[in-house]
This record gives sequence, C-alpha cells and structure tokens, in this order.
Amino acid sequence: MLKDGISPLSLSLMVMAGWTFCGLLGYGLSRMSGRVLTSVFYWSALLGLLLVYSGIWSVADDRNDALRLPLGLPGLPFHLRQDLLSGYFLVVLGSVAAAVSFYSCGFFKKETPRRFGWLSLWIPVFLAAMTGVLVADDAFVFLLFWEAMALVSFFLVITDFSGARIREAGFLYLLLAHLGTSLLLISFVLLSLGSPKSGLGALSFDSLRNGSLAPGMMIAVFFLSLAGFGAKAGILPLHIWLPEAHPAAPAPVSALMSGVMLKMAIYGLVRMDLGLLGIKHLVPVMGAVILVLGAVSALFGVLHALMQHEPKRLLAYHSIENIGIILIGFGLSILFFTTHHPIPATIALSASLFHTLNHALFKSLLFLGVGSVIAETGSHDINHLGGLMRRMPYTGFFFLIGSLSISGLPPFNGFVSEWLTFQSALWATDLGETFYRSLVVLAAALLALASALTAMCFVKVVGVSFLGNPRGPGAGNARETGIHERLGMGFLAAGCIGLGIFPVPVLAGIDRVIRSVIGAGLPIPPLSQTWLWLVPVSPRQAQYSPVLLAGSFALVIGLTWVVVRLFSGKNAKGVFPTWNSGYPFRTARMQDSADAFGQPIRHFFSPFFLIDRHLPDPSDPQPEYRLKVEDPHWKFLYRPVTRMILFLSGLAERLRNPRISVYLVYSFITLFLLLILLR
Amino acid sequence: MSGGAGSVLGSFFQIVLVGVLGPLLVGWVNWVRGVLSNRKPPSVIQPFRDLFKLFRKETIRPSGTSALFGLAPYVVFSAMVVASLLIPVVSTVSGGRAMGDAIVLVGLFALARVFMALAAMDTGTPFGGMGGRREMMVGFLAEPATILVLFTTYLLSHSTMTGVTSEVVREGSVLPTPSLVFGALAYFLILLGENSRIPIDNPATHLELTMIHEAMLLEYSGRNLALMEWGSSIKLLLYLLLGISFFLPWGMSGSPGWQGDLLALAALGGKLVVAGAALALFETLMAKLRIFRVPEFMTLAFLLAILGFLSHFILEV
Repeated sequence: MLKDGISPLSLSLMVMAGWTFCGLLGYGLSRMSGRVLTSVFYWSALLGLLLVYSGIWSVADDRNDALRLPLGLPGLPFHLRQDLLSGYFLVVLGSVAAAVSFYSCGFFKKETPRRFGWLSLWIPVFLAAMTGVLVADDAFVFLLFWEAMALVSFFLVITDFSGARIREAGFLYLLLAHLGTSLLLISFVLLSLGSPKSGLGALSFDSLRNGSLAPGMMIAVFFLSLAGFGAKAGILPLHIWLPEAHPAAPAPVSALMSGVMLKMAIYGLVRMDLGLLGIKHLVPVMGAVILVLGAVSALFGVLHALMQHEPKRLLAYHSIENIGIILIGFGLSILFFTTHHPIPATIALSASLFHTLNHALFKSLLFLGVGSVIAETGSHDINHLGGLMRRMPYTGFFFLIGSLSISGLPPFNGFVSEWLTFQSALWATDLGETFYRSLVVLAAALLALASALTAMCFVKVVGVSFLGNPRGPGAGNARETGIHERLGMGFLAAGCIGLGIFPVPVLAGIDRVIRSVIGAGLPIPPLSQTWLWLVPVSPRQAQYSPVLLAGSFALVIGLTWVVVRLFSGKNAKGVFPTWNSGYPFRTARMQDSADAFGQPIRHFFSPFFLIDRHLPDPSDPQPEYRLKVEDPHWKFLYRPVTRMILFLSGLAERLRNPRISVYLVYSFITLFLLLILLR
Repeated sequence: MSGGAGSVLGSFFQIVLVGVLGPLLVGWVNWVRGVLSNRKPPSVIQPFRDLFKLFRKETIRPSGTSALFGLAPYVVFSAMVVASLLIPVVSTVSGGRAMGDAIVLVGLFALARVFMALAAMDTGTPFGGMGGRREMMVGFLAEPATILVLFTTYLLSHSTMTGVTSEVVREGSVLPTPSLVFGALAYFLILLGENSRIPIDNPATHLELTMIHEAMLLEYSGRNLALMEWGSSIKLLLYLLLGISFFLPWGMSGSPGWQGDLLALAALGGKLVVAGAALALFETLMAKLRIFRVPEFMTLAFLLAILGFLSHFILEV
C-alpha cells in the first residue's frame, strides 16, 4: 500500500518540494511558449489535491506525525509536525490551491514571458511557503516560513510594478506584514522565557506548550500575538493594506491571498491561544476583546464594501468582514470556555473553523469570477458593466453561487457557519455577568446586521455587473471565459453547494480537530448518529437538516414548474420593451449604479465614513459631481502616525553634522554608556 | 427527528392550507380596509380571481432580461412553500419541523428577498433598481431585530424550534409576560416592514415614489406575476402564523387526533380573522412614512426587542 511507506507529513513535505520545483520549472520555461508553460499549473493543481488528501488523512486517522530535520540553527533543528489542526488547514490550503492553479492554466495563457515567468515562479513558491507555516513545529521554522510567505506575496502583489499605485500598495503591505512579524517574534521570545528548556531549544512548540509564565506575561503574549496575526488577517484597525493590495495583484493571487493567506493568521491565532498558551491560562476578557474586534471588523468591513465600485476592493472589504465573523466565533469560544461552558464553546469554535473553510471557498471563487470579468471587459469599475449574465452565463452562474454563499443564505455553506454562530451566541443567557451577556447578544445582532448588509452588497454587485443592460462597450462585447477558468470556478462553486448541503461530515472532522486541541467536543459528535441532521445539542433545542431543506426545495420548484407549465397560459412570442414611464429617452446609464445602490447606507451610517462630496452649483455651465468616500482610519490613525514618525526622524536628522569630530564624540558617548549599562 | 408517511401527508395538507389561506387573508384585509374607508369593498375571494386570471394570461419576457428573471418567481414561491413547513400552523408538532428552526426560516425569507431584488435589477429599469435597493434596505434593518426577537423567545423556551416555543408559551400562564409583550410589539413592526405594508410601503399603489414591493414586480406578467403575488400573500400569512405561534399559541393542538386538529383549525381561523382586521385597522389609521424615516421605525423594533430581552432578566428571573 501507498500508506505503508509514508506519513501525511512526508506527503505534505513532498507537495512542498513539488511546488518549489514547479515554480523553478515555470521560471526556467518562461521563454518557451504555449502549452509547456501552462502545464506547470496543471502540476500545481494536482499537488493541491494531494495536499487535501494529506490533510484529510491526518484528520480521519487522528495522526500526529513529527519530524526533525538537521537544518537550521545550532541547538534548534527544524521541528516539523502535522497534527489534526494543521491537517484541517492543509485541506483549506490544498482545495483553494488546486482550483486557483487550474484556473491559472487558462488565465495566464496570454501573458508576456516576463509576467508569466514571475507569476509561475512565485505562485507555487507562495503555496509551498504556506504549507511550511502549517507544518512548522518550532517558532524559528514558523517565523521563517511566515516571513517567506509575506515576502513572496509581496512580490506577487507588485507583479505590475511599473504602476506607482501598485508599488505604494505593495509597500504598505510589506510594512504591515513586517510590523506583524516583529510583534510575533517578540511574543514568541516572551513565551519562551517560561519554557522549561534553555537556549534555543526553548523555541520548539513542545517546550513552549509546557512552559509556565506569569499571568502578566501571558496577557502580553496574548495581545502581542493578536496584533501580530491581526496585521495579517486584517483585523481593525490593521486592515488598511487589504483594500490596497488586493486590487493591485492579479486575480488568482488575490484569490490565494484572501482565500488562504488570511486563514494562516487564523491558524496562527488558534495555534497560539489554544495550543501554546493553553486554554486554561486564558481569561474571559481575552474572549471578549476578540469578540468585540470581530464584531467591529465585520460591520466596518461590510459598510465600506457597500461604498465600493471597484470589485476587487469591494471583495477585500468583505474579507475584513468575514475575518470578523470568524473572530466572533473564536472570541465566543474563548469566552464560553473560560467561563466553563464547554458546549457553546465547542459550537462556536466549530462555527469559526467551518467558516474559515467556507470563506476560503467562496471568496476565492468570487475573486476568480471578478478576474474573468475584468479580463473579458477590460473594466475595473462595475459602474461600466451590466448584462454579463447573458454574455458570460457560466461565470455569472458561479458568481451567483458565491454571492449567495457569502450572503449566508440557505442552503449554501455560509449559512451553516452563521447558523452555528447564532446557536452558540444564544447560550449568552447562561453567562453569569450581565456585561458579557449583553455583549454576546449585541455581537449576535451585529452579525445578523452584517450578514443582511452582505446580502445587500451582493445584490448590488450581481445586479449592477451581471444583470440589467450593458453600461459600456466593454460589457456589451464581453465573451465567456475559457474552459480552465470555468472548471476552476466550477470546482469551488461545487464546494460551496456541497458543504452547504452536506456539512455534517466536515463538522465531524472539525469536531475531531477540536477534541485534539482542547480535549472536549460536542455532546453529540456529528455523524455519530446521522449525516442528515445538524444537531448541536438536542433536537428539541435546535436542528437543521440542509439535505431535507434542499431536497424539498428542489422538489417544490420542480413540481411548481411542471404544474404551472401544464395549466397556465402561453408565453407571448418575442421580447417586449420594459416600461419607460412615458419617457422615451431612457439609456442604460439610468440604471442604478453601484454608488446609487449604496446611497442609503452612506446616509444611515455616515459616522463610519469620511465623505467628500462636491455638489455642482445650479448656474454652473460645466457642472461636476464628485464623491469620495474614505476610510476614517487614514485620517485619524495612519496619517497622524506617519506625521509623528516624520517629525521624530526630523529630530534625529539634527544630530547629523558634517564634522568628523562630532561623530567621534557620539561614538565615545555610546561606548561610555554601554560600559556603564553592561558592566 | 422523526419522519414517516403521516408527517408527509401532514406536510402536504399544511402546504395546501397555507396556499389557500394566503390569498384569502389578503382578500380579507383588503375587504376590511375597504369597509373602513367607506368604499364598497372587493369580494374576499378577489385575490383568487386575480391569480386565476393571471395564470391564464400570456407571459411576456421583457427585453434585456436573463434566465434569472424567469427563475426568480419559482424560487420566491417555493421558498415560501418550504418556509410554511417550518411553522406550526394547526398543531405544535408541525410536519416539516425536522428541517430546521426559526433561524432557518429567517434565512429562507432572506433568500426569497435576494432573488426578488435580483430579478428587479435584471429588468435594467431605474424602477427595478430602486425597488430592489429599498427592499434590501428594509431587509437589513429588519433582520437584526428579528434575531433579537428570536433571542427573547429563546429565553423562555431554550429552543429556536418554532413548535417547541409554542408549546412552552402555551403551557405558561395566559397572562403574558412583559418580555413576550415587548417581543410581540417588535415582531409586529418587523411584520409591517418585511411585508411592505403601511407605513413602510403601500401595497395598494403603483405611485412611483412610494413603492418598494410593486416597483420590483413592475415587469412581471402572466404566470410569473401570479407566482410572485401568490408567494407574497403566503409570506404575509406566514409572518402572522409565526407571530401567532410565538405569542398567541393558545388553542393549538399538541397531540395527534383529528378532533383536536379541527378545534385548532377553528381557533386559527378566528385568530387570523381578528389579526387581519387589526392589520387593516392599523393600516387605515396610519400614513406612509418617508423612506428616510424607515430606519427610525425599524430601530424602534430593534429597541423594543432589546427591551423584551432585558425585561426578562430584570423582571422574570
């Protein structure tokens, strides 16, 4: 058997090596033409599927494989480990990687050799680096791959580096990524202070896990790592790189960054808080902080998404929102665990982990759909689109599936994770303190608000770009995207529907993961009794059967269709114009634009936006209407910080002096101080 | 989690009942409104005549629409039919109880709303876009309040299953608790918003500036329009039925047996007659709100739901 010789971990390592090889091969072949080039992405897609297999293997067989490689620092060989938690996230990574790679086979066909060489080198290496993050078992390896992931994704963001705006976006991303990494470094070093071993050996995850730290130190590690991972995940207020970097990168790269890379930060948070710090060392306040951050990110993300008309920027804001939803579940689970309510805590953690997978699938699907639309229409503004459902029916259908999933509508996958989050939030009544009780209820109400706003936002995106009439020539002449693109998107769309209708087997896997991490699971493990129903606690309290729901829905639609066709009047022949209100000069531009659709939101939630609106004077012969909606974090947080840094560096500038004697004095003072301090 | 031939038959009966009662309820509300405004009211069965006529007429496909436009009426109608299985109508043990709870119900209504708004956007007219936008706006204002009402009923029954909540409320005292009263008030406001009734929208007009629901259906004709209208009338009925099962479940049968079901059916008929008349009276007395006052209206629903929630902790524990 295949399984005799190798373990899931060695399989993952082989995939990693394979991806690295793919990258180098793609770069080497970039001067060649045609089919040879895209074959790199076929191999990459296949490796993605292998990684899914490896992850499922770990979870299904309860495998916990470790390996030490004689590499790295003296006293600290490379520790690698693939346990159930890694396995679950490897499934997330592998499935998206497979779909995106397959999509890329067709999407990058017409690239220039330079761009192709660049992309086919860095995309597989990016995937390999993320695999490395997931199988790392000491702080050094983890940070090494974490940093590789950040750098490679930076290269991918600046693929089109001739544009000044793209370079700026890349710089912003690099800056925040490094801020995050340095905070992580500090938190790992602080954590290692309590570890039983000394020296570099203290940095292995095993010794970090068994360490004992003072409570104050624990809190410091918790918040530093939260900020460090938050910078990568896009938690408010460290989210500002997302809406800049995603539009800059090519669509498959955005799909990977938003679909998978943000999840690496979620993995890091779960690993750090539940694995290394340990659930018993956490306090309820930490859960509440994560809960509040999640709720605020969710609401803020979706409100700003509603203001956008550039589809990739819009999706980037939705990533902020969905990370918020994941964090609501994670925060709830810490809050419930630390107040000794294991049942809702497990429900919340399952919801959070399940939403991680769901978001990976539908967000990459949406990014790929947008990529095809931009490639076919040449427009980065949905206000120039319209009517694409008829011109690009497959892309339109897949995009619709993704939109319904992200809006949390039954029977798609987003609904299941939101349903589970609500189910755990309902346990708020069991919390002792009124403050936490009301906090959880408010967070649940915000979650409902965010999900309804998401539905509104995607009615906007689908309605303005895919439905109605074309607003510009690009949309009017668009053609359907290629077969690889369609298959790649189809795979993800099938995932969205499949996980929505059959969530129970996946939740059974997640339950095993949770049992392995915190040693407790749901009272009725999913799949132990039935695969039809989702019953978190008892059928009397709550149950949801997506199979029955979808089945009866399909049955009712089919029956209605047949009955209505049999007994109703005929179709009128031909196509008839729509009602024009007696105004004969109607054009396609009079349809609702994206900005018009968001106008009520701008009106009701104006404190969340910085609005710069210029209304024309009635007597102006050349009237101009201008509207700019900005993220207030720039004005109130980032620009003041930038100004302060510039001011401080201006002060440091004064130390500069053309005469060498002054520098000698500086050196002397420094030496003197060092002698005193390090006596 | 039990199924069987009996429950399938029961589900079928429930679907037929809801399908008939929906247009009848709309006819009844319109009749009472006619009487209250000193008009000669249309017959109570007028909606059936309209539906029959629409089903017989030709269906027109407007220019520029995609397949979604033709699919939406079926999705909206079927969502309502499936939703009707999740609500206890005659007996607290409803046939489709196994499918899901009240949150699933909210999700199904949202699905229907999204498809209706998308179909409106598909016509490519300024009206359609406006209607769809406003419908989604009312939706996002109502959904958090709905979730809070569900939290309030959860406090009493420790369940989000609609049938279980009815059982627990029915077993309780006939004197309503404060949290239930606040919850019911909030629910009533949500009902008005979600069903495009006065003061949010006026179901009787086609006047451009006031409309939400009608603007979305403007381009529909023939059987598609019939399905949309039928679906909407079922939606109004379902909202009333859900309200009755949460806040006025007395008289519902809880055990198998046709005698109990018949009695419960009579009780239900009485409740619906009173509720429909009350709705008509409320609509006759109120004026329509400006569209930008709608958020205040729905925020009131949200606050009432919070009050219901808090009053449970303060007064009832």
